[in-house]
Amino acid sequence: MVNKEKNYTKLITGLLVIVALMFGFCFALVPFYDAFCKATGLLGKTTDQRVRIDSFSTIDTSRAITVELVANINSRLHWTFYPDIKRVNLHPGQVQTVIFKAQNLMNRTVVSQTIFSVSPFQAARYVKKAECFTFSPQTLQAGQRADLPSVFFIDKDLPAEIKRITISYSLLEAGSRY
Amino acid sequence: MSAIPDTHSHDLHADEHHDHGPAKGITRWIFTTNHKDIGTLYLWFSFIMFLFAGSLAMIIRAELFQPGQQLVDPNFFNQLTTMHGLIMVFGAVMPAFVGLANWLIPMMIGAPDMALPRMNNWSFWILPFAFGMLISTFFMEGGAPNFGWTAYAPLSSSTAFSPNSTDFFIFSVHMMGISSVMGAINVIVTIFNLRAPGMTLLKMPIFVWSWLITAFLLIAVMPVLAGAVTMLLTDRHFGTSFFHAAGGGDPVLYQHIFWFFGHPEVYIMILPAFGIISEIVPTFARKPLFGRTSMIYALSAIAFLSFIVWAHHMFTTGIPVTATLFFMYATMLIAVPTGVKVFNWISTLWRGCITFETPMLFALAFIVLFTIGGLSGLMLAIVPADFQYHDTYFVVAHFHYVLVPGAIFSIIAAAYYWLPKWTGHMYSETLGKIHFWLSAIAVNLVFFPMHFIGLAGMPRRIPDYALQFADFNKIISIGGFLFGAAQILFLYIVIHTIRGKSGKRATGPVWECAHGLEWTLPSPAPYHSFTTPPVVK
Repeated sequence: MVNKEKNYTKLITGLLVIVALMFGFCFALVPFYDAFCKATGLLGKTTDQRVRIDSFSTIDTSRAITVELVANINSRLHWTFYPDIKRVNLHPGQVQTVIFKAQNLMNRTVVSQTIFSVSPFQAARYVKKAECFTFSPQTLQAGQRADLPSVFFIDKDLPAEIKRITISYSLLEAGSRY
Repeated sequence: MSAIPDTHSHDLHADEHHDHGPAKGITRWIFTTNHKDIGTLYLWFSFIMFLFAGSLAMIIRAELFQPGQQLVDPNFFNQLTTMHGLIMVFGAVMPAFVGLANWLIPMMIGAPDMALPRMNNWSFWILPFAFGMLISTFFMEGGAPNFGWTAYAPLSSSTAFSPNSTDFFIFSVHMMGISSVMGAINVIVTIFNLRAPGMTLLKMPIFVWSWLITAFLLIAVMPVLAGAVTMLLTDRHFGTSFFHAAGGGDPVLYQHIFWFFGHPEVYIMILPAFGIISEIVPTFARKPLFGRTSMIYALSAIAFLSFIVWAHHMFTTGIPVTATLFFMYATMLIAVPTGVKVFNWISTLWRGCITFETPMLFALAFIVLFTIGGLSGLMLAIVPADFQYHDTYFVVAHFHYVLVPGAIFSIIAAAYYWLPKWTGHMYSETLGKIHFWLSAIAVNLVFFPMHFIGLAGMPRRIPDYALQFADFNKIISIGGFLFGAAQILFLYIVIHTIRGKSGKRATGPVWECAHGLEWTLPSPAPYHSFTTPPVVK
């Protein structure tokens, strides 16, 4: 029985290590999933990296992409929030600036965060942002207005079968619990 | 291939140890480290939880008896479906299998007890507290959790959408997880260290094999569930944004993590059932199990595949087509090892000398009805079809077919099969057969029409429905009440048997053709068995 006890300790330790690893694996899934979604554009996620606009970059005038811009406001947030352009035809490589008109109609200061997503998700990797207010939280005092710029272009490598892209901007209160 | 024990000395041996009987009174149960006592505690606990969660289902069926709002308000209805699911999965099915493991694994492998008896006591006694806490949420302000047993974010991760009692739900899931993991570790350590001489791994009874694989599934995925609910807790109260879009998180991530746990969990609830059926069918067909080794490989294959199919629960969340195709084919692949098992059971029956005692009746019903549930699972695996079936009663029909006439029937079959060994008394065959026929008819009355109303578009988890579903819902409710009543009869039969009122005493082997070490012991099995290991040839 004595040497059996030793066996137990080894085996139990091994099993407990599996338990701990699987608990850790659960949390490791969070960054992994995020990286996976950004790399593949899954769920329309794009990287938050600023892309430098090369002024000499060529524009592919052989085709035009219809880009639609959708602004959504979380229902608990009493704001106005809309783009100055709803739809635009762009050549790949052509830089577009869109101004979002926002006003905080609430009687308190609100820190907002806008979530940027692209549909169809296959196009997400090809939407490049040069400057965008979604990169950081935006604070508006009670009643304050702001023009929020979003500067982007569509990469020339966009697959030919994609003719129309919808970009959604969802405005939420930062750190809110819905 | 089944283990042929060397029987010459253990009856005598058990007699020598009569002085080590159980302690008297309630302390016997509180402080017990005996695998048979703990098995009994688990089984009774799961039976009580089964009746409790079943009575929640009775209220659900009463509400759905006719269209319109009848008895309960929609929010309470949601609490009922949530708690019914949670308690049935974690409180009824899983503890019942752990109870069977406790009772049977040491007797089947010729061990004197489980390897870690004190941890065994602890892993049981956590459960009444976990479920006491979970059930107490019904009496809290705001009521019990109401987001479904899957606790999808953001319904569960936001304090704005879910009741405050969600925190109690989270802690009770942690406790259940600790209990399950300890139980699983105990099973693995017992099987690896306490097998009788000659009991090689491949000679082990299939029930023990099925539990060994289940135990590995448990230690692999219960920590993942614990992690998922921990993230819910920190999202609710500590400002994290694992599942909050506003903070950079993603609610769909919750579904990925949950189903990474949830799909292996499905097999945790069915692999021991496969083991039970593989013990019962050969006994009453009077033939050795056909394809014994392939059964073990099939169990392992199912366990492996269960880790790579989780997203078939999420086809409608907008995952890419290539991913849905992968998960569709991987899911369909599970039909292969499952088919191997079903065909092996049928081949075991083929030209067997079959008698139809109650355990066999439940086992045969299992084979037929579980297969129906498996086939509707294949239908759900087809991506375009799933877009129609998703979140309808078709899904409810599917998972109830695999869980009620699947897992629950196997547990009932196991209870009838081993009850004479546990208690020393035969159950009443007449009452057992009445119980079987009531259950078998009622279960189909409840769950078969759900396929039809599901295909016609009745959504699940809704307290009201369109008028065209009224007739089928009435039939389903009547079937439900009948099924519930039949289980009260089961309770009576079990108590009747334990008290020895049915008259007949069980012999040592109990059944004419039962093989395995547990049948070499006298009935009732002595409090301490195999203190000297038997020799398996």
